[in-house]
Amino acid sequence: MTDKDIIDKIRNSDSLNMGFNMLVRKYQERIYWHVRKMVIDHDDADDIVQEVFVKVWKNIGKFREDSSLFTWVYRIATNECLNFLKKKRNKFFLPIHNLGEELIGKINESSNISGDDIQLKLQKALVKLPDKQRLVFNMKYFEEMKFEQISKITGTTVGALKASYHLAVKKIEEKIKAED
Amino acid sequence: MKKEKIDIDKLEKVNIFKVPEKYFEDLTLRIQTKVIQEKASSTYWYKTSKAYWTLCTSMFVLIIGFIWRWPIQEVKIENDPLTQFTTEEIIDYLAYENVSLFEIVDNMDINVIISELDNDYVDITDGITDDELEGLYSEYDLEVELL
Repeated sequence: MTDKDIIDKIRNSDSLNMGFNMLVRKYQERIYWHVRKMVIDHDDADDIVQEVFVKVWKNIGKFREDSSLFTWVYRIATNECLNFLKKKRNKFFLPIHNLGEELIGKINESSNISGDDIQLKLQKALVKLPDKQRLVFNMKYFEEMKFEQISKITGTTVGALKASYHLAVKKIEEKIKAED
Repeated sequence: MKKEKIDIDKLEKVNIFKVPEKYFEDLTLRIQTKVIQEKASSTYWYKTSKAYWTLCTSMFVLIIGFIWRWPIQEVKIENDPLTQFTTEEIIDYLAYENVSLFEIVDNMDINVIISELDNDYVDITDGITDDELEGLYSEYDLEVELL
């Protein structure tokens, strides 16, 4: 099922629900992993994914096909993640509150996370990065997206994304090395 | 001992995160349930807001109507007791109560008197010729210069 088929179904009021169902089935898993890698906690990711698709549903009429459906849905998910993390920081009102430490705690305690030592170290190093840098790293390293594609989702230039990614890689390698 | 440099590109890309069993099978249904709930709540909001605005508009119209009608009602209420009686009955009543003309005028609003005079002024000299007027003046021994 192509994006065009889905959009055609959504544009028709008779097949709108079917089209939306197809959209959810096609993207829910990718969106979930995209969100999960950012917020770490499964329950948080579950809430955000549902919220993302509610927003997709509410705004599907405004989708003008300037970008692909994939880019548009990913952009909504990315914004939801960044807003969630921002709210989480602001909720504590304390500048000393370190969200990275909280996420590391979740990596250590969660029963839904398992991996070998080096993989856990990579994740722990990753959550210490700034949110946007971590986002770029996840999309490039884990999701293997092209910089051009990431650029369309984040609205950042390819050059800036490349610089951000290489800086993130350097920081992560240093942090892993420091922990050894 | 010197630490080895880590090259993350050489690491195996493993997804360390797990989800509960059959999570993605249920997710579609849960998303659609949430969308239906959102639709229902937004419809309820629309309906309640529609009722709210209808009520507000009705109240506004009533208030404006009341304000607009108020002065007319006030005049009618003021006039009502008097319109039940003829002028003769009022004059008889005032005479019976021994109310002097001075007292009546003194208790009236000067603006009402002026407006009444403007509306009801009748020129008593209408239809009387100058000669007849002169005759009346001389009969009553008046010395008024005719205009």
